[in-house]
Amino acid sequence: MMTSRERMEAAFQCKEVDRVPVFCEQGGINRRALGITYQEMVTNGELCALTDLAWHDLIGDDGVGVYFDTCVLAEAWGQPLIYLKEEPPFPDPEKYILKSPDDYHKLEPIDLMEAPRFREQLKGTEMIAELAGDEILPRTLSIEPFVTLGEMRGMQQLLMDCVRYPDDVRAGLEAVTDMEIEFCRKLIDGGVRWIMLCHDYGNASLMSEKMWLDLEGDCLKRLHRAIREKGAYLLVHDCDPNPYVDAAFALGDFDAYCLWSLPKGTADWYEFKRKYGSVCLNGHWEPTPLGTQRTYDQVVAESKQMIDELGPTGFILGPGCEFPQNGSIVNAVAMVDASKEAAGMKIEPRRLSSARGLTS
Amino acid sequence: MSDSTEIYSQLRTALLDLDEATVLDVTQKALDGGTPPPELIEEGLTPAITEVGEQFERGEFFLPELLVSADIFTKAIELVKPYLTREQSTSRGLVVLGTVKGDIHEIGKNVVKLMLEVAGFEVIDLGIDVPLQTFIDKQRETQAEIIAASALLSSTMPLLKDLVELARQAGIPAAVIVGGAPVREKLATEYGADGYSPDAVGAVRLVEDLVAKVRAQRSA
Repeated sequence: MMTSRERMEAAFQCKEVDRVPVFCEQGGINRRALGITYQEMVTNGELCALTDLAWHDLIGDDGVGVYFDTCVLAEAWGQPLIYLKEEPPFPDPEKYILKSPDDYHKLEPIDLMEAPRFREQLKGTEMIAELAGDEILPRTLSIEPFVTLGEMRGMQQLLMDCVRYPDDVRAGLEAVTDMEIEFCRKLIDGGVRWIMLCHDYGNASLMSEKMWLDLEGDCLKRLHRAIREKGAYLLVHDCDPNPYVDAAFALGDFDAYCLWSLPKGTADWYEFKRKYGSVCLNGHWEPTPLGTQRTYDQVVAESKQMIDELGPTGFILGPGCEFPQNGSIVNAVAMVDASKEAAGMKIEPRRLSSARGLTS
Repeated sequence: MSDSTEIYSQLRTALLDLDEATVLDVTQKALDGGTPPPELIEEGLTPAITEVGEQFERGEFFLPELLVSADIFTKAIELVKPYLTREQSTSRGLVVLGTVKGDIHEIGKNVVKLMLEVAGFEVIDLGIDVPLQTFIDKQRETQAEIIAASALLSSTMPLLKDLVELARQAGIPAAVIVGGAPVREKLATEYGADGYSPDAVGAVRLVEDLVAKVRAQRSA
């Protein structure tokens, strides 16, 4: 039987697998495994690492990693955040640091090692890489430059600036891209082997394809290339109902694509696989129904259908965005069970590992 | 072509081109030239912003263009307001709006607010992370016809149901509508909400219908 690391690497390379790997991307439910608050998890790298390992052991999926939230880079630039116990931190809407279009030009390079939460994320990454050993492929999540810029300017204002001050926005995106590349390189040096990069603005809910590519296309190409040249697998993610899939593929330089909704003009998932199956595909569960509206049996049945549609090679089963914090853990387990059943494997009782230091 | 027809055509073209300077210039000149302010709004600015909304629905305009056009429209209305009498300033209805407790996502709520305001509704924006009782208290205080609540997270979405139940228990004479990325019409119906819209343009139509119903019920 393959290890999770071997299974994920084979999937990224569209090679044969013993069973379809499962990656249950989540945004905070993992902390329930250790009973800690969101704030504790995203300010302490070691706790975050242990939390994610506990979550992985609990459900038996194929991915672990240290990921805090989308705001680490914005905070490193001085953006004040509001921390909550039950939700991820977010920028203080009264204190955006980019107060005018001119400020996009004032984003100077920063030393990430001076940023406390980046240091913690790096520390957690190094720890999880060591504990995961040869078994699991450590990952992290990164975000497209638009997201960080919006966290420092305010999303609504940024969107309006895209119409009124596109050249200023471009300058800001370039500055953020430089630091985003540095962010990813340091985490890869710390042991990350694959990065999920969110294309949150690359969809019809936020802007036209033309505007997205015109403003950010070159930045994303640079970011994609930098991550892959550093030796990590790159999984591009877009969780909107109308993702610009063709545009994302035109940006090139990635190994896998994650989504939950079919793009316009694609009739079904079989057609999607035919059109885009040159890279590994990850999804395509819509998170809310998966976590909160289906039974275990329904998740197993629908997951097997997804494996039939997009697998078995070049496919990672999972939610197309974060598994809900209030989701049923049993439903996360059901995806793993479905993968095993589809491959004719026996479903073993789950184990909790203390060998990785959970009890230390 | 009459002068006013020409003015309204210029307003339409300028707003669709997102040309703020021209919209404000034409509006001011129309006011200076004696165009009746209510007519300028109803036959000039409102049809133009309505067309923006229609282009948004058809996928020809996107969120950045919608936000900018709404911003321009609001500035034009600010120019007109001093010329309106008290009666002419009457809003089409009052909406109490907010994102439920535990949820800090506001872009969708803000877009709905903008579109309701440009359609002539008065909106009391309670902001984000709003305790459910605050929606009820504010409706009682203002006699708003509509309570509109959003949730973006699966974890906060069930609070929409709690809000509907709270409103029913309180017996307030207002309609409760819900929205947000993970919410679907079927779920809104299960929650007992009076209405749901997947987008901001649809929310305006929904509010138009429900305000009329609530007012009819109140006067019955």
